[in-house]
Amino acid sequence: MAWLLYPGCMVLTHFPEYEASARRVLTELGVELAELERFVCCSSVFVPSVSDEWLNMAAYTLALASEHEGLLTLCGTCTAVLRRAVRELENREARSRVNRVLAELGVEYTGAEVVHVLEFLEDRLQELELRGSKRRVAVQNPCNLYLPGLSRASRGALERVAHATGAELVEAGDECCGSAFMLVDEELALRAGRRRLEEAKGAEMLVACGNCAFLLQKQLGGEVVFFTELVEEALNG
Amino acid sequence: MAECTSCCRCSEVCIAFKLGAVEHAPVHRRREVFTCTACWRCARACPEGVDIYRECMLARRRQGLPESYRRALLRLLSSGIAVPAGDVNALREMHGLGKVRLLSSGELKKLLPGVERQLRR
Repeated sequence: MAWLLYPGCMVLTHFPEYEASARRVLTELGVELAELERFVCCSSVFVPSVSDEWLNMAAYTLALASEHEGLLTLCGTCTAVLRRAVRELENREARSRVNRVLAELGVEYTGAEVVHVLEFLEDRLQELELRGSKRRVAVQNPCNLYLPGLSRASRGALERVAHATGAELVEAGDECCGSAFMLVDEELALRAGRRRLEEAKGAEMLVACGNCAFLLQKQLGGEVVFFTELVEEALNG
Repeated sequence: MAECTSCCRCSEVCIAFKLGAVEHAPVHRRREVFTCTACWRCARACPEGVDIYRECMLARRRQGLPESYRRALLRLLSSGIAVPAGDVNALREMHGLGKVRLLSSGELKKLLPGVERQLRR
């Protein structure tokens, strides 16, 4: 069975190179990927901030994944929201209620596993022959991936990926990039992001989330590399 | 249900607090409940296991939405994408990615009927 790769809004609109490199790396691992034919936001932090209807929206994508092996994600936020939805939908009443809504759109949720590509890759890193990365990177963890009770990734996953490629790792602490402050306080977001770039001491930020990349690269002009790009380069290294 | 004891460990690990942008109070009880990166270090730090994510979302609903959230929700209801977007399929094509169909506003209203009504008010 094929996996469905879900980019999330930020990757869909700003970072197709992340999705494209993830596809190539997963294909190298022999993973079959289905085409995501319909896209809708996971509901992000916006819908949960106003209504429990966030579950309908998250469940739509999960319903698409129900027909496949599962859903592979690229952003921390989507991963956390969709996993919360999977947990909520274990309740039979909630699942029936949501499925009544989804039926009007011609889909049904019957269960889906949500796995961030970083988690997927961490599990299967030894299957790839990686070498020769000349990059110097500092890790920016995707915070949302580590929501308590819903995380599968180990905190050192990005470090392990970097190490496997031969890239030089620069210690930069483990603070949040501050990207989501952009929604309510742009100056605060820029201040938080600048601090992360300073902590990276001139190394490229190794990221696994479109939101981190948006602030650090698009807003602040920092050097950013997605972990899938690093892995893809090292496959050919 | 786990209960908050106001120990404020959640606040101490919060980046917004460290940057001096919010008061020192339990994250879900502070005034600036939207000044949050959703990193959930607070939830990991809570010794009582309070579902701070859920509590924050409920606090946000009581407080009312900032304009930026309202705009994002309107975008979501019209395009199904939370951030400003150009022609996503043209961008995908440039990177060899398959086209996606975005949900119609009619379909989105079926997913979020209450949100639609709330924003119209």
